Amino acid sequence: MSTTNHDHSHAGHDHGDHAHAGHDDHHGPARGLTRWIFTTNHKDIGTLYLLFALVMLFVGGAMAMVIRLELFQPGLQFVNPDFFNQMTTMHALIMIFGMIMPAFVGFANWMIPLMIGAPDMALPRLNNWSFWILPFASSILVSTLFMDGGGPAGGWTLYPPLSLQAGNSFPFTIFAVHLLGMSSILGSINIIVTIMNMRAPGMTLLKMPLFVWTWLITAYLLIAAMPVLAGGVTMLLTDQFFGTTFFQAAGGGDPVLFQHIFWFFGHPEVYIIILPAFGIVSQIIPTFSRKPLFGYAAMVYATASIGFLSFIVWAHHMFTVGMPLAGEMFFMLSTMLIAIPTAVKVFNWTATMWRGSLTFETPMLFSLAFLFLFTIGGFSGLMLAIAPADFQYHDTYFVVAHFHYVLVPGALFAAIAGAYFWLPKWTGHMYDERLGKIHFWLSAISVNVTFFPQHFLGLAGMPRRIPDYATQFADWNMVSSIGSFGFGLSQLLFAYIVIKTIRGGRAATAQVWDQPEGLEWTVPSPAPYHTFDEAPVVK
Amino acid sequence: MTQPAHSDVDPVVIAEQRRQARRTALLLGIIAMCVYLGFIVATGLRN
Repeated sequence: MSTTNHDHSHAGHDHGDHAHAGHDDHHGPARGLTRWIFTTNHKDIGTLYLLFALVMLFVGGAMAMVIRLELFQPGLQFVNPDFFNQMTTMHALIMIFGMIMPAFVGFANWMIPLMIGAPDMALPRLNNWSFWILPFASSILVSTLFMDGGGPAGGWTLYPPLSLQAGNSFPFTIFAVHLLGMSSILGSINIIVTIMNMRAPGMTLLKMPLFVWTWLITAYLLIAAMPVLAGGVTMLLTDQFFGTTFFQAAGGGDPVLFQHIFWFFGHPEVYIIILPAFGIVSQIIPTFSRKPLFGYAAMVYATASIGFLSFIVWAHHMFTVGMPLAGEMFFMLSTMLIAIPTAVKVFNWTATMWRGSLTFETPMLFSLAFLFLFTIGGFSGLMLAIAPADFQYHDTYFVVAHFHYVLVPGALFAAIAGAYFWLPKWTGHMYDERLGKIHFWLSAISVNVTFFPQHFLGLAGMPRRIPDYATQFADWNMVSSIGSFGFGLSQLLFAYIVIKTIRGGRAATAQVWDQPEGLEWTVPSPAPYHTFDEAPVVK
Repeated sequence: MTQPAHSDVDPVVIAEQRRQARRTALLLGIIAMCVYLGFIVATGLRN
């Protein structure tokens, strides 16, 4: 597309009524801390989400380091088994609810209004509330580590009866999960109504950038899935404190029912995490291929198909609980079906690059790594989908390797790619490309050194969630731990690059990259505090 | 797409957009609450 810089002066236009019709006066940001506490500006709130996610990356990452340190050698070295279990549980909860989801909501806040030509999110005060719930919820969650009996240690899946044996931390964990879910639901509602109501004239649904599409579908998934988790953990709470027996066999309840409820939320959650990642990659690959996205409509339909299928595959997480054969067949085949729309996406990204004028700046490098490594995670997922094989793989390190390939070089690499891609638009400064490439190579090598050996460990029979293991697993565990330390250190470089870019650097142009597609590149860099006060018309 | 141009947007249209947004948000919130309570009630009835 061709783009022009947006003119904000628009002489002769009276902003008065417009301002009253909106939520916000036409002024710059407030000064000091109040700017961040009371802000209703989508860019400020996006920044808060992203910075919060960066901090939580290091909190959750520190827990991963404890886990890998303990697993460096067989035997108990540094922590006791209960604390190890607390680390695995909290690492997952923090990385999922405190890091990767807020990171993508941050991208949504920053970019969706800019991409659809809206002046802000539709419900700005709700937006402020959605964010500020997060630090409190996360603080409650982390504070459980300092309570009598420590934090939750039964795994992020909170399966009863194990999770009901937790100490004082239990009600706080449940409360934190409720709050984190509320934050996500409110954020999703805001995203849906913004996309459905605030698009610029001419921005029809099938002209929206793929990132907006993936978030629209993700937001619907969140509204459908999150209340199910909330219902499940509410029932856990009443089982523990109010004498109900939803999941207690002694009172006629069924612990396996919790697993069904949890995974009815849990599998869509996987796609809630990965669909925005698909959206970011779908913005980056065409930009650095200098070609439009191949098969745009197919990409939209594939995303919607993945969203639908995500609700009918949940029991593949629990093949070993003992299901009727027909159930196992259904969940096995429906899970395999997901490979089709996912492959559509992978082939379309590849076709976008075909005969393109490719350049390999840092966002493109991370996107390419995403493409290769997410596909590895997809293939190991297909192996796990085969019910009879899953009986062997279940609860082994193979599963750990699989979902980390999907979530780390998958979702996290896409988030990092998005950060490099849009940092110049957010800050007005170009990041240091040389350091960015060093960060990429360190991350790409160390992530594989960390997680690829875990396939071997799992296939050899090493169970997950154990602090000690048989000596035959020692070598690959040591390799994996060394890789994880490298990966952890590499992300310190990322934090340094981000801070350096915020503080200064070469000035970024409005377009930043070579002829990028989309309305966000028509506004100056950094994007002004208020954009699209007058809606652009998209032709 | 796209060549962005400028259009003046009627404040009445913006106000209506926001009203519509609030209505949709309320509906989505009610749906979320129904899913939440529905799952609890359904689980209770099953037992």
